[in-house]
Amino acid sequence: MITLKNVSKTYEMGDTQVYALNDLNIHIDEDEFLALMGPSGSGKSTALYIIGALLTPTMGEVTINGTSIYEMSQRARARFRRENVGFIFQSFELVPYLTAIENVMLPLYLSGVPRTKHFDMAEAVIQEVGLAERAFHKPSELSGGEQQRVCIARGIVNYPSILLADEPTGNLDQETGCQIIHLLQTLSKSNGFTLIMVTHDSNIACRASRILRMTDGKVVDDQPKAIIKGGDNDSQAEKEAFKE
Amino acid sequence: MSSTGLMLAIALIMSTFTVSSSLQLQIGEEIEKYGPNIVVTPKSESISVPYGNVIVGDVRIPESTVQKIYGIPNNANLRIVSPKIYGQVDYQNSSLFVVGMISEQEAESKKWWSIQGSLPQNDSREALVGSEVKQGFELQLGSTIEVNGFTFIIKGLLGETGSIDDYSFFLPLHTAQELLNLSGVLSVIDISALCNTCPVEVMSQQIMDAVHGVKATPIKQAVETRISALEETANFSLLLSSIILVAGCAGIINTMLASVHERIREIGILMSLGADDLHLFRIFILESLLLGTIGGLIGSILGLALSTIIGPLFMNVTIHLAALPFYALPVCLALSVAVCVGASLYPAWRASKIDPVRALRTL
Repeated sequence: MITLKNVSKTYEMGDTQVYALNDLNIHIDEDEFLALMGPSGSGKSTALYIIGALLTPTMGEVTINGTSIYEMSQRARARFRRENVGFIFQSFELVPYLTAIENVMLPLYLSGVPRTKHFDMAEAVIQEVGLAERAFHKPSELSGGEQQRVCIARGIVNYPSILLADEPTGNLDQETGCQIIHLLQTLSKSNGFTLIMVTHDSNIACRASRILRMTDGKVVDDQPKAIIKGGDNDSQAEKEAFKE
Repeated sequence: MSSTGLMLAIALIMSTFTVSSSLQLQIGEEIEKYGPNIVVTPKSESISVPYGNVIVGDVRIPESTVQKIYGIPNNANLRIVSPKIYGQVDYQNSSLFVVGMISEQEAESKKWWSIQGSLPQNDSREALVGSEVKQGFELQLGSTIEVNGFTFIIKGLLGETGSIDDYSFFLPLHTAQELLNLSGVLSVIDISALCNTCPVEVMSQQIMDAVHGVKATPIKQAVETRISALEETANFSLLLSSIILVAGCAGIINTMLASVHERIREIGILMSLGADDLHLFRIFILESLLLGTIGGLIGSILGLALSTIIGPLFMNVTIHLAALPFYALPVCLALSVAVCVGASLYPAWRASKIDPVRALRTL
């Protein structure tokens, strides 16, 4: 369970204070699939980084499973992050000189998992995202969709309780994007993690169980899936993509 | 780039090691050509005859002393042992200063001698005459001279030396002893010790311990000149190495900082995966350790190869790899690793303090 209570984040721009987040209050349940939508500069990525224990808010409190994460030391927060949070990026952000499986093994190295287990654990997750045959290829040898699958595998290899996705389909064509969202939904259900996704695309957002719309650092709309317009009406491309 | 700079610095340090060790060996060999550095004389209070810078008395040393000298603990460092007998004999209303010697040993210890003709054969009635003796008595190569009933043939004429050798009449040791009626005794023993590293004072003491009634005097000037020359070479090498090291260090700091900047994207990824400051610090230090070891090894090999090729061409030094001190490679490797790690401390600390969101937004 994630709670953001009166969270603000401000930046100094000369003499003026700019609010990235302005008194934000969000409550996210366990196993929820939440989509954060909004125009550029609305604060959705800032909110994502704050939930991910990467960015300290100027004011307010963030609790995850009852723990106030910004009362922890920086080192303890990093530990919390590697044990509980997985990240997925728009540009995949794989280490270019490592193979797909080596990229997936990185969080295991940081978590202090015994080295003998690294390969088997990474291989299992690579298989789970359907990329077993491409495991030993470098990112430059993989397509965008394949790179995003590696990124997802890297995000879930430590079995986090929260997976944060920052525009995961932003660099993919619609069909591949749909496949990625379908994969995330499937993994979310099978692994039982909370999925929070920032997106511009309402077709992608409607796959979520809840959509939060943000403007100027505030939540302006909070809709559960049941009342999302077109939420159950997948586009033809999505339907085709999900058949695979 | 950083590894290239480091390799170059280590190559230069290894070259300095190689060239300076060979240079030291060469200087040592050159200096040993300047003459004896230990003089063994009788221990006596009554002194009378000056010879060069050595005062020789009437008291003599038994000839068996030579064998005892060869028995000292540091005998491996004895290069030349040249026993001599001195005496004066009357000749044509004047006197001759007679020096009995073992020709090869004496000539070896006096590299500056220029001889016309040849050295007298041991135990023969042959003579070598100094330039003043030759002029004073109008002697020529092959001419004979009769002294106290002994007839000697002039086999060699010594060029001017500017020393008492110009006034000396050189004979084989045993012939001179017979002429001077001093069989089985010596006036002095000149010793050239191979003292690139050995302590001359210690050897002198060893001689005095082995042979009673003699005084072994180390010729300080020669020793001190040698030590000073070697020290200057070593200091020069040290200074050069330090400059190279400082330059190398600055280069590594710059390139490592550039590397941190270039890899900010990677740092951001690692932080999002849960890396803390210690992880990042450790990663950069481990990389610098690896870089230092590989750079040190390649640099050392490069330095050895370069000095072997360039040393004889530009510095007129023959490189003796055997003269290289055993600690050269470990020192170069340790220096390389220490400089690399030391120079990476600040960049690694900077990497560990990067704001994760700033790093991620650089993505």
